[in-house]
Amino acid sequence: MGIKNLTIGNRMNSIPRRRFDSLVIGAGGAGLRAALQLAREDAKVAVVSKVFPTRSHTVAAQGGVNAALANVLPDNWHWHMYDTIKGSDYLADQDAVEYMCRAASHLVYELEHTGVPFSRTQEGKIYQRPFGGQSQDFGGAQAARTCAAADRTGHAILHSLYQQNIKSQTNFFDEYFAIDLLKNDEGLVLGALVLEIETGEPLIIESKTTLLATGGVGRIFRTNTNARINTGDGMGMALRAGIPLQDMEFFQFHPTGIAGKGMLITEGVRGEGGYLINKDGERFMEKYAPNAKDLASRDVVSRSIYTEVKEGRGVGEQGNHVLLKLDHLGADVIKSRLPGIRDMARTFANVDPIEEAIPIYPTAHYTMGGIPTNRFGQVVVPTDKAAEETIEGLYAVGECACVSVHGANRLGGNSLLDLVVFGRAAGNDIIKYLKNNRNHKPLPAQTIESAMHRLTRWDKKGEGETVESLRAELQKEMEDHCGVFRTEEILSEGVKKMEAIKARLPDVRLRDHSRVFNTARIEALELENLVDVAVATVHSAYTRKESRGAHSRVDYPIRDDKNWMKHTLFFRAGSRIDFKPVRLKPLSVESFPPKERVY
Amino acid sequence: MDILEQLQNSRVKKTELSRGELRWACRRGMLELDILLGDFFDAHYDTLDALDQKIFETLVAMPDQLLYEYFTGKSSPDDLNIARVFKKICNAASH
Repeated sequence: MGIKNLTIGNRMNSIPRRRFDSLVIGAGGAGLRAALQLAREDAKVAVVSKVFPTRSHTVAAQGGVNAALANVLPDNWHWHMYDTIKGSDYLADQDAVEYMCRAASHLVYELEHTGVPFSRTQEGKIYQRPFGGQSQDFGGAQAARTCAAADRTGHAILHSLYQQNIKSQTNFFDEYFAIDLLKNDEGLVLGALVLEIETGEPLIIESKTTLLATGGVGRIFRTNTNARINTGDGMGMALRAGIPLQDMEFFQFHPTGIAGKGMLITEGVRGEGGYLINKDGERFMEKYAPNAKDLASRDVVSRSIYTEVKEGRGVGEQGNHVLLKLDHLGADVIKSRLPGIRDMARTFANVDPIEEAIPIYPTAHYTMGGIPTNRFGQVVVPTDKAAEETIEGLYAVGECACVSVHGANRLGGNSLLDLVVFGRAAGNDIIKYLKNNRNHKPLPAQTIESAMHRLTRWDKKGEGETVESLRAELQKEMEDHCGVFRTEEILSEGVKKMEAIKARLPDVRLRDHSRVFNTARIEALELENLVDVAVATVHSAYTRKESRGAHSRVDYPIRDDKNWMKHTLFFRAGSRIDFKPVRLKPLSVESFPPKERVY
Repeated sequence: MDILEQLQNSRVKKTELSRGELRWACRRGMLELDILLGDFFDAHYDTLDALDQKIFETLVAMPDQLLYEYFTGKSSPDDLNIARVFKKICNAASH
């Protein structure tokens, strides 16, 4: 070992270390379900979370969790599988979908047994509500498949899993921020460097396996429904570790979010007779969708709003939104049928919809893409030898992962299911791995040095751009150039703009260099993740020259199975794109071949 | 014990949150609460008197779901002081 390496080694040795069998990064439903599986088997588990675990974004999932229990209407897992694959616009991996739909009932009953207070039928069974995209008998009558604990299913699941983990002695590192993965020269992942937010001090967590469960990345868009914690931290770590992100072009948008704020105004408002107008008071959906008008599909309504704004008919000082008009429904209807929407509009848009229209813009909601995994939660990458090879010791689950059960578009009620099914599956696979890998492997100083550099880089002083201004610009450019209206011209401009923003990142400086609870420092680290994931997203969207699911290209309006029935992979080094085939072969049943989607 | 008595309790003083810690505690699982608590903290926390600052700390320690129910009117805080500060937070968001 040379003098230089000795110096690095000594410096890195001064950083405190903890050792665990398994490290879980992220304490939402996916991370906690995996941790629980491990802790129950007496594995020594660390869960790192940048916020207190029960403040994870899973708490916001109000809808419910799908399982073919057949408590309300006839159902079976095979119909659920068909709906999920059709909903995905045939991009989902059919082996993973079969696994998920088969496991769903068991997982929901398990949640019931651990205390999730599901709503009940009169006979005392778990109540199931119908949701869009659910059918009986492969596209027949509406099914009722979504199990809910009133309107707080995510909250109930998250709290139940947290309590079970406490009971099972999981080690929680609350308010610790994960900086980067630690690897050896063979590419094995050996843990992570994390930062204790309270003290500002780094900590090395050595682990035989590491699982990323850091959630989605709605914060790359200006208008989004996501909590502020959803900054794609695990995706950023994966990209920096040389792992690609898969299918990032597929991002679910809702047409009606409160402009400038992001929270959702449900489609039910338009169902009650509310309609959209531009600055001239014109009901513009009549020209884009003469029959369905304001009840046209989400992507059509979203693109129409974009077009109105782009062509100068937007409302407000900057002309950057449209309006959702409800006042014609009358005060009684609004008060009795839409009280929650009225509260939301009054608080966040400062308008009372009884008297004034609500400012609206399409809002980003769910990340279908993510870190590529197989159905065991193992992270997989293409190599010279195979389309998919596992990265030893590394797992990913939940919205940060792409397993892929959602393909090009996620069905309602399948996101909570994804968390618990694959959280458990990853936990089981990790247990097997730990049985065959009982010892920690040596951690090279170089990997720690490289992760530390990411932290110390923010100690640089002097003039420079602020985190807030670059983040705002990134979000605005992503909304304008990689949002609901996608063409070759707009996306190629978006690629240039995002690469330019990435190039400016080294010039950003912090004003506050204190250590203790320096939240500005955390926001800077989050910005780096946002930039990397935004670049991945816009490159992927530019590359895919077809319309499929949530990726809607005006210049390529048709799904093109001949050329594009494949997953996109984006690599950070050189902003390189690769592809891999969709797994069309299920585990035990016949494959569902691609068909035109008609609902 | 009502909130005033609780806040006068010395135990509360010992667990006093630093400004940074409090700001971070405003990071929630729901966007609505991020905006209500986080934006209020940035814009108005310093203008609150000592009692209301303590009540704000009490509020951020509450679970997301409960705060969301306060916001949507599904339930309301039993304590009048908490209700008053929560209303102040909602009013600030709408201006």
